[in-house]
Amino acid sequence: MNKIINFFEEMSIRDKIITLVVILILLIIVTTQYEKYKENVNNIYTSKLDYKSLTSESLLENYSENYSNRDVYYTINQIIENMNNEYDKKKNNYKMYYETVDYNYSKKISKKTFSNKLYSLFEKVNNSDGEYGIRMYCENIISNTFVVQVYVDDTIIGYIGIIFNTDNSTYSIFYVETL
Amino acid sequence: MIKQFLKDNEENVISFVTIFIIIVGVIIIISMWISNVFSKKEEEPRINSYTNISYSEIMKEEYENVLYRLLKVNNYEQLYEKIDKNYLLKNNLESIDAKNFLIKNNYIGNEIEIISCNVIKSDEIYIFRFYYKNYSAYKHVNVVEYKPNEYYISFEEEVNSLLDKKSIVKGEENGISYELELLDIKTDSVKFKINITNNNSLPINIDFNDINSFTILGNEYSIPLASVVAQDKNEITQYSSVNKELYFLISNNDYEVCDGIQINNIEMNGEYFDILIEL
Repeated sequence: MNKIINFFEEMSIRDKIITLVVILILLIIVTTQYEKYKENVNNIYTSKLDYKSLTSESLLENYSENYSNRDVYYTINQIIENMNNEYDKKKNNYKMYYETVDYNYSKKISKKTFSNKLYSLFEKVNNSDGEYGIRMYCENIISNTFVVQVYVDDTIIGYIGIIFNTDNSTYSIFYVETL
Repeated sequence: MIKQFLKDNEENVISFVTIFIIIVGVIIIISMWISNVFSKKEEEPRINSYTNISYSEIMKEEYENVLYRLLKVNNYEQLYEKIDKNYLLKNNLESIDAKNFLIKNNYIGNEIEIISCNVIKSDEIYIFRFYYKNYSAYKHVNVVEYKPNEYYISFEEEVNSLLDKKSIVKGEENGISYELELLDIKTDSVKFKINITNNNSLPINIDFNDINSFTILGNEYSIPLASVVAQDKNEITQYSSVNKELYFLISNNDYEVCDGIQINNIEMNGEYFDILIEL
C-alpha cells in the first residue's frame, strides 16, 4: 500500500491528473455496463427455470388467474396490443422485441426462433374472425412475474411470460409459447 | 518577452496544454454521454419500457360516460341487463317494478349530473361508487367490477354487502377452471352463464344433453336443469373452454338457501368426478 502511495506521490502533477481522469472514465464505463448487467441478470427466478422441459402447463403450476392488480393488467394489455399492432407491418418487426428477452431466456432462444414464435402467435390472432383477449396469471409468490394467456373466442392460442422491473419501469419476456 | 517566458517555462506550458486538452475531451465525452442518455429517455422510449398508469383513473372516466347513458329513463332496458340480480332479488323487484322503483326513488332520470367518484378495492373486486344528482335528489350508484371491463351495477347502500355477494363465482378444481355468473332471477327461476376451461393435458367430457349434468344443491333438495344446455356430448380439449347458459326452475326461497351448483359426471381418461361450485 505504501509503495502505491509513494508511487503516486512521486508522479508529476500532469501524470496525477491524467491518472485521475482515466479512473473517472473507467468509472463511467463500469457504471454504465453495470446498469445494463443489472437489467438483464437480476432474475433468480428465470435462472432456475429448466427451459429444456418447460411447458405452459408446468409453468402455470405455480400461477393463478388473478386481477387484483389492475394497473399491471392494463400495462400488460398495452404491451400485448402494441405487439399485435406490429403484425400488420413486417415479420422482421418482432425481431426488435428480442431486446426485451430476459437474459437467462436469451441463452436458450435465438432471435430468429423468438421472433417466429411471436409472429405465429399474432398471425393466429389476426387470421381469426373472433375477438382476441388476454387472461392474466400471477406467480403465487413473486409479485412482479406474470404469464399472459392469449385466446381467441374459446380457444387458447398462446402464452407470454413477463417480468416487470419497477425500479426503472421496464419489462422482460421470459417465455413465449404458441399453441 | 513572451518567447522568453515560453522558453523558460517550456515544461510547465506543455503540461498545461496537455491537461487542458484532456479536461476538454473528458467534458465533451461526459456531456455526450449525458445528452445521449436523456435524449433516449425523452424522445425514443426503449421497447422494453412502460409507463405507469392508474387503471382506476382511466376507468372512472369510462364508467362515468357509461352511467350518463344508462341512468337515462329511455335506456332502462340496457340498465336492467347490467343491474345486480341479487339487488333485484333483495328488493323484490321484477323487471317492470324495478323501473317504477328506480324512477320513483330518483335513481334514474333525465337530469343526471355526476358529482364525484370513490374507488373501493377489495382483492379482485373494484367498486366505483359514483355520487350524482338527479333533478334535486342526491344519489349514488355502484359499478362493481369483478374482472377488468366486466361489471354489474347496484344501487346498494352498504359496500360490504356488495363484497359478500355471489353474483360471480370462480375457481379451479382438478385442472378445470370455471366462472359462474348469475344472469337473471325470477320468482320461480334462475339463469346463469358458465365458462368452463380445461387446463389439463387430457380432454374432458361433459354431457350437455343431460339435464342432470348440472344440479342446484340445497340441504334437502337437488334440482336439475329445466332444459338441456345443448344437444350433444361436449368434449373440451386441452386449453379450450366453453360458455353455456344454465336455467333452473327454483323458487326464490329455495335459491336463497342453496349450497351451490354441481357439475356432475365429468369424464376424464375414463374416470368420472363432480365439481361443486359453492354460492
